[in-house]
Amino acid sequence: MIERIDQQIKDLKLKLENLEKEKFLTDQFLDRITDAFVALDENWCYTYVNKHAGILLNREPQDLIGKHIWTEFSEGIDQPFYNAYQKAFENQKYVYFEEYYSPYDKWFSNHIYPSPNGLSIYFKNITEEKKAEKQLKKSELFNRSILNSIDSQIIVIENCGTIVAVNELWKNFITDNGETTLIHCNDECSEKCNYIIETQKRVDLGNKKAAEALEVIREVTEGKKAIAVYEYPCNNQHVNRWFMMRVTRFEKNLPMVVIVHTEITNLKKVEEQLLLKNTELIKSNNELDRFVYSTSHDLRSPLKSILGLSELIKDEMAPDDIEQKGRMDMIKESVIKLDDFIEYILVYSKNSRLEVTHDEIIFDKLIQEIRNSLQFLEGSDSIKLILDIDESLKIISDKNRLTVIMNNIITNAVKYQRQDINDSFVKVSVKKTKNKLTIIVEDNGIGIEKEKQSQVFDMFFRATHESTGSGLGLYIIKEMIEKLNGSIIVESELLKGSKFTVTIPNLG
Amino acid sequence: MKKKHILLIDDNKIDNYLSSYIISKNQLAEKTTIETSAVKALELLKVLNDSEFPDLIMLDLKMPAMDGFEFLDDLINFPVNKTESCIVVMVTSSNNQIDINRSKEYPIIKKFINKPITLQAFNEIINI
Repeated sequence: MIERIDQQIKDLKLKLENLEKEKFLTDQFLDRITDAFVALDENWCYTYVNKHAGILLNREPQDLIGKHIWTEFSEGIDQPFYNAYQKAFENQKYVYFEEYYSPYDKWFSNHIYPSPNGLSIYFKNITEEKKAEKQLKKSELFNRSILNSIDSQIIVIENCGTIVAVNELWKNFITDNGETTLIHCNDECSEKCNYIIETQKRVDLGNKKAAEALEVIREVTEGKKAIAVYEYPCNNQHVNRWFMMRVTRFEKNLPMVVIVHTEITNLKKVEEQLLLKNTELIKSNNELDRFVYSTSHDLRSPLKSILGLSELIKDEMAPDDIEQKGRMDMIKESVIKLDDFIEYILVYSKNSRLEVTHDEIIFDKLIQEIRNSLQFLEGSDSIKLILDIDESLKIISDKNRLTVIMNNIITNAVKYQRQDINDSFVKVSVKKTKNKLTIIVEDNGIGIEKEKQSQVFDMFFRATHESTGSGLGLYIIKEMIEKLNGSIIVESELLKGSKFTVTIPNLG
Repeated sequence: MKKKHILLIDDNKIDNYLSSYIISKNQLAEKTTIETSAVKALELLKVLNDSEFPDLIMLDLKMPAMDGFEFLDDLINFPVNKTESCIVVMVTSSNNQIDINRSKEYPIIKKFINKPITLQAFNEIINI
């Protein structure tokens, strides 16, 4: 009997040991899980609080055992938790909910498992997740608002063509065009929302623009280009429009592309008008060019005849008829003046209309040409032309303009040399620096009065009564130099000479 | 050196008169022919035999119907034995750089001169 009792006690001890072992393991397990876990009995008193729950509730777990939940946490009464616990226990049904718990300023998720003996509650601090979620929603909203506010149709597709996202404008556009496809697909993917397949269908129907557009999209989806642009007309029964499609590879090399269609009808209209105007302008420019050329020729031709005739008459006159010879010279002088004037008008008109050309200029040759044209000029045999030019000097500039500029300044030096000296000279030095060309033309001629120097480049201005010119020469070369983005300055002293410094960019 | 045959082609009769006067007065050529149109000048050149072919042509650039360059485009297709001893001087009233540049494309053009034509200019041409 005693033995039996002993045996029973032994068995009970063993059971107790096992139970304790089990409890220890359970405790360990419950402490180890990252969720907080508490158990309440039917009287709302804690029967179990794991370590994590203690931390979250900021209490020692063993202090809570046997305590009434709403006595210990009276601030929780009437909070959503309170109601949820009540409901779960009353209905004996599992409840899950997430709620903000204002006393702790935290979000918690709760799994509530009821039993007739009470509740088992797993809860977790999900404040960070909630914040992140909120942030995500905010940024989603932000992105969507931006996408919808943009005045272009935007579609994001995967490289295979599946539409990932579209903006409102695209939806409207598609609906306006009476289409039912290509709007969007949420989770399941059908052919209807595959941009590439839909476009291919149009290609198969013979739509050339669709074929070209598809080619452009493929350039990006196949990784040949990061960005591709395509302009196309889009006509429906109501309107004729132009669009520009811009295909961009998605950021961070995701296998997606963004397709943006922007309406450019107005831009196209302006472009067309501009082209038309430009064509007209080119036409009228050419006409004007021909007109000026013809007119100047027709005006100059009879003048040249007069010049030739007066030369002839003068040659045949009796050598002693000085008075008549003088009159012939006056005719000649007037004709030359008129001829120069016409030439200047021609040069001026050309300068203002013709684009700057880029010619390779060998300075040696240029000066030789000027020398040739100078030899018929009166006074050219009584002036010495000194050159200080590197013979191998080559630059890129507008040859015709540069010739006129050089010719003009040198001609002035010949015309306005001093008659009372016999060592008249004009010195031309040309220096090339990095990207500039500096031309200095210096003479020992009659010079220009100080107060008139600022006006020599003005239209029709003539600085001296000895001038036989039109007052256009320096004005025109200044215009030309400005066209070449260069500058000209004059330094001069009466009866000492003048120095013109021209600086022009080397266009090479 | 005296020229054998000078052909003047210019629609401006006064300029033709001036040139022919200078030529005859200074005895610059054995023979001078004047044509006021490039078309007529070409017709004439076609019927001339080798010995009659001019050794100097003074050619005005701007003329109605056919201008100086158009004339040259035809002339360069003449048999070489006719044109080899012939030089052409381009004459113009306006020193247009574009024309000057274009005339450089024709090897037969040996000089480009600006009117009026003077004895000095002729002397230079004769000595080419």
